[in-house]
Amino acid sequence: MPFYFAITLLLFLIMFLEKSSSGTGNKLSLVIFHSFLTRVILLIAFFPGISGDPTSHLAHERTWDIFGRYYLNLSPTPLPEMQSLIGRIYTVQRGSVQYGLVVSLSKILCIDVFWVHTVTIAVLWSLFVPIIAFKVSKIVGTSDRAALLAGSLTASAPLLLTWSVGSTTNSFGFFFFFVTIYFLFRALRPDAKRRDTLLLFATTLVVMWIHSLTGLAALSLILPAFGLKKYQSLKHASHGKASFFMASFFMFSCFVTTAILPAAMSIALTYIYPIGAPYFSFEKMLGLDIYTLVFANYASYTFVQTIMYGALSFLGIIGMLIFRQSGEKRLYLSSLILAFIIVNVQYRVLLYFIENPIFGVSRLLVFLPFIEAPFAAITLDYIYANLVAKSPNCTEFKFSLRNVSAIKHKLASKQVTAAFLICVGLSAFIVEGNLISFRYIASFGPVGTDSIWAMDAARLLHEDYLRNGERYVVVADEISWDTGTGFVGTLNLDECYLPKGQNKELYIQTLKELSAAPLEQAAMYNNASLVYLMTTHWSVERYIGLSADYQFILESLNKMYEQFAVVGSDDGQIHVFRWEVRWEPLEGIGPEVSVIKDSELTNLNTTYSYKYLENITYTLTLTGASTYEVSNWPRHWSYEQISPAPINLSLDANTYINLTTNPASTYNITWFANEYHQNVVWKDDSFKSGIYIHHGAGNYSFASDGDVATESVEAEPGQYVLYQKDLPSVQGSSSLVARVKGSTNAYFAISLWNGTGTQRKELFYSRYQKCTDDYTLYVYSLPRNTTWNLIWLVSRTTDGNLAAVYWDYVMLLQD
Amino acid sequence: MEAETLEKIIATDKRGLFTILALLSTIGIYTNSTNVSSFFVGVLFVAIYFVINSIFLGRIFFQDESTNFRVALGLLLLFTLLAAISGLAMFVVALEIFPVLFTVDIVVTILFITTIAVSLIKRTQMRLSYGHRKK
Repeated sequence: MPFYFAITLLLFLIMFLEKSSSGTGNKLSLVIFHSFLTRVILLIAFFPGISGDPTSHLAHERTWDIFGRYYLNLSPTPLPEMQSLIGRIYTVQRGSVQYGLVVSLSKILCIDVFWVHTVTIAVLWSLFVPIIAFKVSKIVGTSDRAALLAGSLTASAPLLLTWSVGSTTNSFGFFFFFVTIYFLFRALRPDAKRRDTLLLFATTLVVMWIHSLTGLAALSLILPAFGLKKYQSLKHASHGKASFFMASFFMFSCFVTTAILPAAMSIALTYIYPIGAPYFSFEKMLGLDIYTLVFANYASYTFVQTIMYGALSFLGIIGMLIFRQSGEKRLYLSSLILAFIIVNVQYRVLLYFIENPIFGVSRLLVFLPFIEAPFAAITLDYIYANLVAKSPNCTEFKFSLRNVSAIKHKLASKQVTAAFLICVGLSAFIVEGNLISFRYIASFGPVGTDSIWAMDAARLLHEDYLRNGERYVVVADEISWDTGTGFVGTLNLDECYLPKGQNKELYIQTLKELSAAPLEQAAMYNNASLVYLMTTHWSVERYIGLSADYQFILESLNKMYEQFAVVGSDDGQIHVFRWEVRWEPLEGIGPEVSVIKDSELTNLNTTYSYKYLENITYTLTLTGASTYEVSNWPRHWSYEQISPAPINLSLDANTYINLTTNPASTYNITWFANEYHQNVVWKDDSFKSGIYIHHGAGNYSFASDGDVATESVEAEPGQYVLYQKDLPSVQGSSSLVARVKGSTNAYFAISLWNGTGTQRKELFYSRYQKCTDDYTLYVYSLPRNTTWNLIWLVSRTTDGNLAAVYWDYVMLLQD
Repeated sequence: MEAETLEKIIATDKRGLFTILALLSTIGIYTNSTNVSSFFVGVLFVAIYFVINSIFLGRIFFQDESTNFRVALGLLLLFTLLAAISGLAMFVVALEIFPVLFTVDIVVTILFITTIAVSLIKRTQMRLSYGHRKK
């Protein structure tokens, strides 16, 4: 940054102090060079790219590049917005100008789409924004210095910096909006040719196509400008008529661009595109505080932000007030001022009255620097020219040659100092603008930018795919997902990253349940034979909470899946696990259990069936006797059911299953088991004994059928019931496992205590978790080297209605 | 040779040599994209293509500007044109009415047609301005 500051300072010093007019072209080259330098610094700081929208566009471009098709056309399930012709047209046209340019350049230059995507808008911005700003300023009649300043300020305005490197349709829209200003002025010239109007018309169409917001802003500029032109021609015939025309036209322009077109878009969106459409509401204004009502965006700014974002506006408004021109130049100036007013009106209308806007309201403010910068440059030039550069006539001091040279020297050094201070101020303004952009992206933490390591991980997966040709799907944290889609494209069914929402849901589920079921669900999306799970420390903290034990999660995942790669270091280190999907279950002969069959002891084999080791079903088939007493099954098995229902059943899922049956029928007893949980230290699968109440509110109960315990509470919302059980001083356990389900209004929690009586301490608390409809396995890591003496089972109602939690089993495991 | 002279030579080329050169560069681009896949070769051909067509477009639309601005604005227009036409092609492909994919064939066709169209407009303009001067 000091280097960048020095370069910026040098640029401004050259602009202010270098006198030769023939050097304007060279100075403009320096402005362009500085503009490139700004973008290079930003690109390096944000490498490999800002996450979210820019990467999502990269992913779409990647799909175009690989398949030559629009990504939604690859969706395995038909999408509602693609069903009707209008919906399809609306959907597929979005972003196509940006995609067209990036993919075409990538193909003809033989450069990877990633690089073309990353640098295209930055290059266009760096090269053309200073040129257009210079040309626009010259057209309105400023000096060369003001025009150069305008070029520099527009290219590096703080509000525009992140847009100038974030390759999104909106960024392209902003850029082409600025191009429109220049083409508009060409078309407004008295000697304008038909091709100038054609050029303006074509560019406006392109701007509208690129992004509806930028299209609206372009219309806000063009309509009043042509209204003004008409006004000037009418003014000669009748001043009153001309004024009336201008007032009406201004109102019409405001109305069209702030009400009619957004309303039409809103209606269209309601019927075409599956997102919440915006709507008009007076209530929104009533909900705003007085500061927001008056100061709008400035109400939430810090002091530095106010200066950084407000300086251009402040100087720009002064420029609008002090700069006077006549004739056609006045028309250009008035057009810009009118556009400035209309964009501000649009912003206030959106801020006060539009609920659920489809984009951030403050995005409208991004248009303002394009309009303000030439005026701000005029103000700065005015300050310099009138207050600094204008030196008093020195001839009156001629009586003493010595005095003259002293005074001249004094004046000159005063001018240089003042110019130097202005240049330092401007350089600080631009450097701080960059720093604000860095801080803004950094404020998002690890999700601000994509990850280089995620790129490496995605590359490894891709190379593996090229080697073995096996279709895969990835479940990943959001940045690995984001970066990965940029690498293989959106909806690439051979190398698939799931749709964003689905990926997040399955990722969290995988981490919480430490189960392969979410991965199997992911594999169903594209019939993948391989599933990759990418996980990072920060994402576990973000999704599971700060209390999550990342090491424990990694150990558990290591047991379940093959560790494919570890990429990077520190918090952003990515662990990649690979799991081969088994679509058909494995079946075979399982362990023996003891059965007393009509009073005769025998050992019978079970059978097993599983797709993954965490979810094995063991079945014991019984036939030919009227009574059975089943016992001695492995401790980590959990009794599930007997089918068909026996005549009598006496059950303690911890130890025995006694049943009276019809000898002619065949009965199947099934157990569920997780083979990763074999080292059971303590387990309660029946909850038949030792459970007693500790705290209860309202109506509550705890009942067990020998297999599942039902703990229920009906009390004020948020109230809970707490049953406890003494443990036989359990030692050496490293994790707690619970299989639980419950009603939709129920939450559950478990805590474990060490010690007895007054020495008792709660050393583990699971926090409340919402119950699911189906049985779910919850695994918690425990503090090591602790003896557990007591367990609490807590149920809570969220809405005051009866809430029931069904406890299948709770157990403590060793590593 | 100065840049201004080069611009003048390319812009006032009556024999269409530079149009042919631009068309040959599209063939070069196609060959490189489909067979060689070299970044350097790609940049070389694209540079030739962009320089010629930017100068042509600059002459058509920004004749009143100085040489540097004319070429720069021509380049801007060429980018805009390429973006818009490629976007339109993508839009048509995405509708899936015709069984076509957005491949390098389509991109090179766009470049080819753009060169021919720009060249025709420039030639017509030159002929008209020559006619005016004769009168």
